[in-house]
Amino acid sequence: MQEVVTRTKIEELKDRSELKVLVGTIITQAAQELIKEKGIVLQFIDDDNVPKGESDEVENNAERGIVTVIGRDKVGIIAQVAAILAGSNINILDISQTVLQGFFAMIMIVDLSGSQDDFAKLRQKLENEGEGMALKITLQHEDVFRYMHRV
Amino acid sequence: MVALPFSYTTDEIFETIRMVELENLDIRTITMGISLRDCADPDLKAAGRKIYEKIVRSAGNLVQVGDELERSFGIPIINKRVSVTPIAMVAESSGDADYCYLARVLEDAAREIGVNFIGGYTALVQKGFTVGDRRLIDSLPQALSETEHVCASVNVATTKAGINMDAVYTMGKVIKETAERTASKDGLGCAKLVVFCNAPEDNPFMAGAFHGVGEPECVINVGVSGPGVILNAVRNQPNIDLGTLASRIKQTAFKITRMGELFGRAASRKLGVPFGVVDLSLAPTPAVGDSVAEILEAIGLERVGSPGSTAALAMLNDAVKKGGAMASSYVGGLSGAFIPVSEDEGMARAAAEGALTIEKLEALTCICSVGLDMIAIPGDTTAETIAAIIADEAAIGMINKKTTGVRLIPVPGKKPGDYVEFGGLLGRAPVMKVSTYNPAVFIRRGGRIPAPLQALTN
Repeated sequence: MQEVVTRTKIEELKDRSELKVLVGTIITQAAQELIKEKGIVLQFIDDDNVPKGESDEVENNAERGIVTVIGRDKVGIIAQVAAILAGSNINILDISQTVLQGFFAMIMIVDLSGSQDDFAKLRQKLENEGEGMALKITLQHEDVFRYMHRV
Repeated sequence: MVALPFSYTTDEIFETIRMVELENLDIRTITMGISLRDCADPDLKAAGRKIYEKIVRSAGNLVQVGDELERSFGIPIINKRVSVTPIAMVAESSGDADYCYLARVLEDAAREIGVNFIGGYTALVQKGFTVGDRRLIDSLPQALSETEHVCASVNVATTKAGINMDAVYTMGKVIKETAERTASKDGLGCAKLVVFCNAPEDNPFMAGAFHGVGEPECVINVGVSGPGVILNAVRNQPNIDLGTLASRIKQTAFKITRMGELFGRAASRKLGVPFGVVDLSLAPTPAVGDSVAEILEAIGLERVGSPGSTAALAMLNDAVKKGGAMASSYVGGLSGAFIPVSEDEGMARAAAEGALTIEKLEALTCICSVGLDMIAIPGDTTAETIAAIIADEAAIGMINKKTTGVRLIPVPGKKPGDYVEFGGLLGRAPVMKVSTYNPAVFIRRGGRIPAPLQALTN
């Protein structure tokens, strides 16, 4: 059974002390807040007795994302976006571009499995870089499109 | 059209992006239902400990998993919630009458795991009260005033059982007392209390969520949102006939609901908990453009509440259901358009302008979920009048074999036209006028309105 760490348990610990928990332990929201507040260092340890199931990493391997870029056409858009993706070790599987109601619109299918950044961070990075170039860049999980447009 | 390796068209991709970026497409709630049937104990304090432990263990990482899903799909989840077995059933085996203790336990558990609401401070009394039901109902005003995250509901009628008019009257008094106890917050306690007819057992929406007795040990239910997306679909088609418009709404509802299905399945897998249902409800928020009223107005009404509102809502509600039903393997809960007043900016505006009255809202509840929802009424409205409004709604639900609910807030000291601010998702609304003709004699008769012919289906 999974261990649960609650706020009460964290309250018993000294500031900036170390807490060792098994991988997969549930740490409640209230406990997490207090851990931050008290500067407690969390250490996750593997329990060899627990049989390892399919981990999230395996699942992530199949993950593909769709990057869209919208904005006024200008020199170097593809190069710049590709550079951001390359910087996070993301492979571009396919690119298509079109002009949508006078706007440049690009769609990239990317392979996220080798990504050095997690999805949220990458999303933020693309969004920020996009703003600098007066472009709207979004990153979405492929599943979102698959679910929405195909039964 | 550009060919892509997964056969999505450019239009499809940009449609999805537009829904998320511009039209407030979001998941309204992921609600984990948890059975507390094994937590009953002759000692109420012991029951409380078991309840707390079970909720924290089952839903300890619900918020975390929700946050992960938000990040990995890039679509916000507005609320993470927990619903539990009706507390009246769990508490009943104890002789202790202080059920408020359990409300505080639920509150503590909600704070510990960081959910937005916890529902299930509930009693089901459509045919009569047990000892536990009475104690729970008596404790409601205090429990709702002492807690912030706990939501309560009482089912006073079903199509199969009729209407328990004693319970209806009691709830009129409970709503009054709850408002008075939370007078400093404009009667906010009442916003966490729904009186139901035909309450669904797997509803993920608050304040009426509870984990029904026929439900499994633990389950994930998802409520979708998306009025903004439907609104845009309607606005883009000003010149098509209603049949074609219905079809367009249906297609859009399908897409919204698919997101609920995606999130439900993903959450269920990550939490190791079975997936229950997607609730297809169109749930508005006070944000501009995320309003069911505005959809009705975009269909062609000057203001919601005008003649034609009921027909337009019937079309909308039905189209949402047809599209949604195709999109999910399991549909349940309330599944229909919500028409709350304070939570929907367009409804609140129509009410303030006098276009929308309680009587028209009552008519609208005949055809959609869920009922007279989040309506501020004058503080001097009597318990008998509130009870009579509940009875009317319950009658509509009973006869039409549908869920109806009443969530009224008799705001202490406020008169029709005054504004009330509830904050957050609960929004703001004008106090609406209520008929002052007196139904007290009818209500004081008490007893039970027999189940209608509609109940005799076997």
